[in-house]
Amino acid sequence: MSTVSTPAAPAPHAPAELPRPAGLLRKLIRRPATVGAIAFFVLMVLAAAAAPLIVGDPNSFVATERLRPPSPAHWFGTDNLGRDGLARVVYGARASLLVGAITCLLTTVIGTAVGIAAGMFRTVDLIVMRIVDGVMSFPVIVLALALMAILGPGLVTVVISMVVVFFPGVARVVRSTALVVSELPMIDAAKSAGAGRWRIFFRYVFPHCTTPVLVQAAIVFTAAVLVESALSFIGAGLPPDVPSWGAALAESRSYLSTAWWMWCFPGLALIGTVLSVNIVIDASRDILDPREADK
Amino acid sequence: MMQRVAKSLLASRRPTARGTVAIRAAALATGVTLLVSGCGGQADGGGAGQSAQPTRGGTLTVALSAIPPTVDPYATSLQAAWTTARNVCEPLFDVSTSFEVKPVLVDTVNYDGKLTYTLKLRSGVSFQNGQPFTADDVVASLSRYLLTPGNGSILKGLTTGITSSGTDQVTISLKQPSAAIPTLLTTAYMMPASIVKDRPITSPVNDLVCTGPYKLTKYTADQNIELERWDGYKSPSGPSDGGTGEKKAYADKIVFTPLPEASTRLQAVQTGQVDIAGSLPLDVYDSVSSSGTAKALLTSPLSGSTVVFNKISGVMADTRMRQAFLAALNMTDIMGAGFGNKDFYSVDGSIIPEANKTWASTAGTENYNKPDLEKVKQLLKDAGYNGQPITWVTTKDDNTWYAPVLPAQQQLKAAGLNVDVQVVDQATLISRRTDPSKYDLFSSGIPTYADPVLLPYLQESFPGGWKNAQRDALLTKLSTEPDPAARKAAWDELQKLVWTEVPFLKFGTTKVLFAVSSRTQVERPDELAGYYYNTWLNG
Repeated sequence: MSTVSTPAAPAPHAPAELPRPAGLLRKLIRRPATVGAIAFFVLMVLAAAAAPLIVGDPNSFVATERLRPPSPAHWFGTDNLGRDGLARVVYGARASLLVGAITCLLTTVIGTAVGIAAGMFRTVDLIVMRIVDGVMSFPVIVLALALMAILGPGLVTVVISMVVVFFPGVARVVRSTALVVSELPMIDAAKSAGAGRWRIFFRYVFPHCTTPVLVQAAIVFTAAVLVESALSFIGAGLPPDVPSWGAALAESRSYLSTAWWMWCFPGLALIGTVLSVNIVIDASRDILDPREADK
Repeated sequence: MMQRVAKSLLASRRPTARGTVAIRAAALATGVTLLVSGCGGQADGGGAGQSAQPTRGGTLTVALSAIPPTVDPYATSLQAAWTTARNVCEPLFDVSTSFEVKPVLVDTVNYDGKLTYTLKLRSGVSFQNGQPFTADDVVASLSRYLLTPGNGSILKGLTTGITSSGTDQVTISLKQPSAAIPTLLTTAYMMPASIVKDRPITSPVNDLVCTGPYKLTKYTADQNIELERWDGYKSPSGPSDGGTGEKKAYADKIVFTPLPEASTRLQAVQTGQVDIAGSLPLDVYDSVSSSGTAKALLTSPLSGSTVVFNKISGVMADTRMRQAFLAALNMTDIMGAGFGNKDFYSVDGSIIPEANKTWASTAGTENYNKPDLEKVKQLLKDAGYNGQPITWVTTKDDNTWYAPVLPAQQQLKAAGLNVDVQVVDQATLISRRTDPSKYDLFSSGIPTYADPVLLPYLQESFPGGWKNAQRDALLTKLSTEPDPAARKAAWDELQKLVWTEVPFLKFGTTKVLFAVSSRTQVERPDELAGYYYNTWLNG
């Protein structure tokens, strides 16, 4: 009796070697600009998280303290209603970062699921991608405004609007990666070995999409912060009693030359946050890119 | 021009300064000083260009926060929407900037002291389409006016008939004697019978044809309005003052253009794109005055910042809730935070501001600006309020409407009222306030009326729907009582009722800031509330 030895099923093609989180962080902190960006962003996050402990009520006002320049009592001055500028900026960080984070999370989850499903299943691809095409054909702000008009103002509405606006972009990028991965021999091998759809999805396809998903998530975060500010700037975002950098910039328009602190500090906070995240994204992308890694 | 003035100054000095270089230099220095101080005074805007001689010509561009959805004054009680009508149309009587009611399209008025007014119309007046202005036009216009809420409905309640006799005489028959008829006619703009006869107010007239100094040549909703001087205009006589007296129509054209943002309106004036911009934050007064690129003009304190409550349904329909709302507010702080400079606003509870001395009153104001958190707590408890959201619809389109909103919201929150502020554009607000299911209170503004009978807030038909038998009796007395002292007493009672029932609430009174271009000359800044025919352009 001869024994037929069957070679073991070939190991599925291993995902591209990505730096482990610790490795990524180590490489990031070798770049001075990135360290500065991370420090600024962490500072904003900490300030937003500890806002009630470090500043007072951002809506409380003192009628006799209107339009005061920065001073020991009001580090960022006071606005046109006599409200403390620092408290408004810190609580504005809370609103912006919260909107950015929730939008980023929901958009990434939905976009990734839709993108991978479209990449793996042709029927889903045909239907979902046409919907994605439709949503992406609208300008972002116009679509967000239309949704705000339908759903009404508020934090939840802003987040829903952003998710609807941004998930197609994530879905499309993930889909393209998933399409490539689903054609790789490792997928056929996994199918031959009897792997189910969910196993293939989570074990083989999803890990390959990690890099574009992370980059897209960070891009969505910064875009959400900017679009929230833009919506609040034109009065269609958060309610007027919720501090927002965009709303603060809008209020400062009549005081551009007479109260520079009204636009300077919210503007710096907004620019700093978006720039710091973008610097980290850029550096991460460079490090995660195998072609760059080879250099 | 500077050279010309300097030369003339030197020339005027020549007889005494001949051969004296020092005196010449002094004269030149004096001339330059005068010129500089003259420029400075103009920039301050205080004199508003009184030194210049009025000249005809040019296009006067006025920036509005929004182009009204209709130009038909019968279609809305919002005075901001009457700007076109105030320059294109005329009522039988109108109001001066000192709140005197004077005839405009009426030559003589004869009241028998009982039940009949006989109005003889001015002769030679015609409409902008060439038709002569006749008594039949008055009857048709007034018949439509009676269908409007507010003053029209009051007039309807007082009259039994309006008839024409011949072409120039109109008879108004009353149910009971009333001295208020001319006052009630100040918002009844005259239009041809061929256009308005049997026309419902739900069918607005968008191609106004009237008797005023300008004719409407273009109206595009949300885009712009253009008026052209009408050469066939026959002006009433007398000193120009607001809607009364001679109307001079200096500019060839008046263009209203929408610029929703206050900062954009201001910059448009400073860069010479527009000539007049209003509803600016009072904080920019100093910077505009010192800029040299525009003039800052302040009206008298005429504009009351208010909110009107929904008395028909919702949480604020309970009088105790409205009283709690009032008791939660410190108006001194709200007005201070909202408007800044104390010279530009007053904290007063007089529904008709002090500018109209006849009707200003302190009656009932013991409840005004008396914050009392214990009282608020008790009233909220009595009303069974348990923190449900109170929807406050407001707009940034008018600074006097919006400035008190956020400070008030903060005080109300501290007092336990959960106020949800919803900011919309003015047109949306005007639309939403007609549906009681969509608001609990809305922002508004009370201009200074010549007479309290003109105040639309007192009418049941005004959004918010205030029903009150005592109010009805006092309004009737106000409309029918011939004795001025008795009318004032009735108004005092009515104002007291307002501060007790709180159907609406006034935060305070403010001046309104306008920025005008250097070439724009305005003799009476109070006319900028809507009358532009007496404004001229230099150069």
